[in-house]
Amino acid sequence: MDAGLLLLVLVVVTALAFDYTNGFHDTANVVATSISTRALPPRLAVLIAAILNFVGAFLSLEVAATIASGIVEAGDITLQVVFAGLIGAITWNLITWWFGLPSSSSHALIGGVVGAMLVSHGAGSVHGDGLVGKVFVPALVAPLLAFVVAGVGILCAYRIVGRLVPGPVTRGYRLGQIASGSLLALAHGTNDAQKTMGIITLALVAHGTLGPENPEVPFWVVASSASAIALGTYSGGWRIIRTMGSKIIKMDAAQGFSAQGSGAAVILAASHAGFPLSTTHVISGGVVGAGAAKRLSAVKWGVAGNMAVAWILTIPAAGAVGGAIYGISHLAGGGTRGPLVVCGLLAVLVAYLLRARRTPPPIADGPETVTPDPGATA
Amino acid sequence: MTDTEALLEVVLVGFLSGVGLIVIFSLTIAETVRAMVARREHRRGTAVLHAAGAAVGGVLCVAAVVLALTLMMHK
Repeated sequence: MDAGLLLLVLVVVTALAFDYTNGFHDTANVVATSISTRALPPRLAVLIAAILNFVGAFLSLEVAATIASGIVEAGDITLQVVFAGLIGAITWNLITWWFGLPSSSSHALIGGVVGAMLVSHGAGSVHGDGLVGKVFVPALVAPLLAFVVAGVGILCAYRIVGRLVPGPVTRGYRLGQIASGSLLALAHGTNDAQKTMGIITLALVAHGTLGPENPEVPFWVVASSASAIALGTYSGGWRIIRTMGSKIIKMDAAQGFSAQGSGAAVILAASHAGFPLSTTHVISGGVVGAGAAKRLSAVKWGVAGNMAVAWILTIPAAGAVGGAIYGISHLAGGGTRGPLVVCGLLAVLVAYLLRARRTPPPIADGPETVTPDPGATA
Repeated sequence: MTDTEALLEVVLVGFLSGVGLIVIFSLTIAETVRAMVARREHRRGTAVLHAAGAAVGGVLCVAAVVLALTLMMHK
């Protein structure tokens, strides 16, 4: 296998791995509220989301020519930069998943690529205004808008159904949750699988497999991207699902529907206007809004604050990892050898972490002491 | 820099469609429940009236879903 083809395979596999993490990281966006309000059993919810993610990936093939378009200098993006950016994004997705924090996979990818570009080409290759207009402003607008829409929506909903028999009302909202969650899953598949398709297409163009003039996305790229995101979704990021579904607010079916319905409306409005909004930011804002409108103290603001911190850290943290990975790859010789060395180092790191988790805690040397139960009576 | 026009469009359309969707769906549920209660109490005229309201709401909700799917496919 020649070096160019090996690098292509590395980038494609890493892109699909990112797609997989994107799926399981963002499962919570579409299923957490449905699971929390018992609109759907957990396994069925993630199965439906996975199928609709897969279908959504085939709905539209308007693949962007470059990743982080308008944010970094498109002509300077190399496969090594893309590889480092993907590793940065995957790392941040795994860290936030471990802590059960919903954060934007798109922002993680942008951060990773920006970090790698800063190391490879310097600050001149990053468009500060693009970063503000396409990342920072949407990151502020998305949760605030969804917060207001879900808040106003739930107040109206309570006013309309407040005095009715609760049983059928709850069943009605649960049905609405299934529909709005399905729409969100379709939209997620359409938006996020396309990012991976764009990366793989870019890699194929760079390798010379596809022509640079209007490259057509091969079917295997669409199918593999759709499969990776669907498999990731089916794996279910249960830690984040718990945070979104029950740790921020204890929601009822009407709140769940308001959060999801407002999220779907805002995302589709943004998509129609060509304004990039993060699904994670929108749904999280909707969940907090639906809770706060009922009672401010119903929201666990500490959890919401942790999420906000994770959002602020996404770009710099993924960027730091992306930059470091690019640096290591460059020091190891760049080209194909650099990414290969990085893969080797990552494999060693993962093996060490897995081993550390499996190792049982050391047994104390001294005799086992039993703390007496203060409540025990002789 | 930020596309202010697109931003305003997102805020306006997102707010109206989001709140509109929640209100229409809630009205649909309310009308359905009222129709059920009226039918149980043998108030046939009222039941038909509420059922018609629920049907209109249902059609509007389905139209919203179709519009959303169309937007997804043609973006």
